[in-house]
Amino acid sequence: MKHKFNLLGLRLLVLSLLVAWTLPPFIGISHAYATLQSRSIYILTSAGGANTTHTFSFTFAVPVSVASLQFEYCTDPIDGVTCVAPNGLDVSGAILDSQTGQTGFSILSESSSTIILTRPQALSDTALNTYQFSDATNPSDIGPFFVRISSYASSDASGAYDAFSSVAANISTGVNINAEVPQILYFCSAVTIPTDCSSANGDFIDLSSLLSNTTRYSTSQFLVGTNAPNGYNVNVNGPTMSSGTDTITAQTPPAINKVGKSQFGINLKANLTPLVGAEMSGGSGNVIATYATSNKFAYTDGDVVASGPGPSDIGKYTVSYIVNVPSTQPPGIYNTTITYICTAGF
Amino acid sequence: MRSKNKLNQIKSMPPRLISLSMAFVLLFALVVPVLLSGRASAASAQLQTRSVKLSSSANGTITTDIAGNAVTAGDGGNGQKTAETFTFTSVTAQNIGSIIFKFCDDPIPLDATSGPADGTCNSPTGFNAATVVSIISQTENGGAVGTPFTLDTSTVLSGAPYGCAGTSPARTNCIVLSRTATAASASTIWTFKFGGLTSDYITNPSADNSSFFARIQTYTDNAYSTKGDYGSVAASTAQQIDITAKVKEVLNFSVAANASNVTAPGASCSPLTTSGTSGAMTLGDTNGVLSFNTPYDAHSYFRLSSNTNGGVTVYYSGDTLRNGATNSIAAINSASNPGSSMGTAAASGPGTPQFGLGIDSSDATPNGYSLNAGFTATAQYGSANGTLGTVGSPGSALFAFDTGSKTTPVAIASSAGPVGCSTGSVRYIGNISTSTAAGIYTTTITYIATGVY
Repeated sequence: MKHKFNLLGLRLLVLSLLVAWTLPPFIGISHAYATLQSRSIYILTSAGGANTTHTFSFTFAVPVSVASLQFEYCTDPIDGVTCVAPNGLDVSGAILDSQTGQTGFSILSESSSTIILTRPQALSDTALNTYQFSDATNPSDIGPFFVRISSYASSDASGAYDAFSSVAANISTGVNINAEVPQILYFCSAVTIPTDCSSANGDFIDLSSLLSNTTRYSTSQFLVGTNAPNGYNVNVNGPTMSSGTDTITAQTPPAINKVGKSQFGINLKANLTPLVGAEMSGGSGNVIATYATSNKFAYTDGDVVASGPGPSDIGKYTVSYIVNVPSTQPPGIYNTTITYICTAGF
Repeated sequence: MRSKNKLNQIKSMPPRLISLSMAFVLLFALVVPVLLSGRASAASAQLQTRSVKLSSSANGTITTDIAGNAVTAGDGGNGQKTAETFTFTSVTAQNIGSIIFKFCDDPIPLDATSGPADGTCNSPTGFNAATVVSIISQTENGGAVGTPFTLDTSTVLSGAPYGCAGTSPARTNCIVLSRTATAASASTIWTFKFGGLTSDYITNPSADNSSFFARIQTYTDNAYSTKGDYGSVAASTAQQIDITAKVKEVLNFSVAANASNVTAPGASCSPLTTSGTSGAMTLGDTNGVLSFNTPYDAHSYFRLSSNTNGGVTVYYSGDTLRNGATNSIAAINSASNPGSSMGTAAASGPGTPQFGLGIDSSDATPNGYSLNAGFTATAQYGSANGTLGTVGSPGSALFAFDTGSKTTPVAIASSAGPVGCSTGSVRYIGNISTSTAAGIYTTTITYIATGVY
């Protein structure tokens, strides 16, 4: 009988020890500690493997004696679960850039996944604390990672912690944006261009009957814009006005309007005599000097009339045409075709 | 048959043994009622249906829960500042002028000649009633007490025969009530509640699983001289059960630059997939070429869920589109905000160099996987839905971009609390002018989610 009792007692003892050993992890029995509140980790970049800055913020729920803080990077936030360091993470060279709230800490030790700060023991308050570490290398894997933050009364993060909580951060894919800007030469000419090239209108100018006592004039326009690094030139091309073998003299060099003389000329300015033309607008180009004086006109086939030294937004040029004839001008239908050519230097 | 057998057994016993047994039974019948019931006096009897209800059975040192959070006085987890509610029923019709509630480690009085003896009473270790400063409530047959009792803090009851430790008002083991002696009928049901407040409380014994007792003695006068009905009640502290269950901090955040990576979130808020070139985006026509007279947009996506209680903020970080060290496409609102590209958002204007972004609430690609209520875009980044405009006629969609985000990430959306499964669509605009230098322009925009737990 005594033997049976002892055997039963032994079995109960073994069972009790077994329960005592295995149960706590399952029902979460652990020592009492305060949680950290308003806690976060702010990473300056979420790129995997990036060398960046990690900033921790938290408050103590209740004042505790603090002599050391431990920041332990894991793939799981729960204390009691074995901490597995995130792949690629390395905080062994992290630098404590700044600290606020509970201060006076210095780095006691670092490993690839753990930073321990130490200071003389002092009672915390419940205000916000921040600790910023630079030269921290992010985990390499896309997805979340966690940092277990714990405070200790000991100076080396030994013993039981008095406060503990975890924070979560995330490594994510960066958005790589690619866009190509092509070589651009935006150029058009027409009698009128109210807005952009899509509004270009007209290719014929009728100067009506030429008289020796009256100047006939009109205008056309061209737009030019380019991203050519070396700018652009606009040439005017075409003969002076003619009717068979009879011609009207192309004006050269620039001269004022001469009523009663044989004269065909252009400029790219606003004029008063006659009242025709407009100053160029927009862009960063220039009118070539020959054609850049108000009330003076010239024409030479092939001349550059406008240019830009470099890239230019869209500029609008207005070309003024004047025609004078003497009383001896042979009758006929005088005409010409003027072509503008823009060349950009990329 | 069975009784007959037993009788035969008795008959067979020796006569001397029978006599001795008879004498013992008589003595027992005489003495035990005196010792146990104390009903020696016709003027007093044991109170009936008596109980004491504790607001907390935690030991008297406990004021916080396992997480260190303070427990309010009078709540179940606070053993230091408890309330006790006594209920009992009078047996004898008699005057009641005063009542002593005396707390001891044993309920049995030593002298029962006229009710409980007021002798030895070991105060429960750690117990303290000296902090009771009022009667929280009292009832008589469920209603108001006809002649209410008041807490007696002036009468000294520290010596024999009362045995209250300390002198008023520092009676650590007694609560004493008095009133003008008033008749109370038999079967009167009384309740008295004490403590449970921040500055008016009873502290439990300091040990777990420790029984303690209150001896209730009524007096027919208010001089504590003539005993009336009496009785004891028992209470006990108990080991608290600290239950811990852990919920992980959750911050699920994923980013993709292609609509094909935006999959249904399902019940688990599946992250955006990373298959293919999930992070690569082409801004422009089908060949990735921008135009000075046609606006081009593109979308990237992020998906977020988090159990933060302090909210989540999603930041972006990056530079504007650049080609080499010198050529760039200006941030869209930099022209209107010289010196700072923050500020109000700007509309897309083809023909003007612009790079910007914003949340597009109308983007059809997420197929309804939109930002949850409570997770909202920052003001200047919240109106990127709409038209992109034409040359000379800006669109209705508004964008912004801060080149300073390269060093100080800028918030694009945030919440004040937890975020259910949210999928955000970020729309990018790329406009150029004719003078925008030719070349391949690139940038990398990084999105960062920060949760406050």
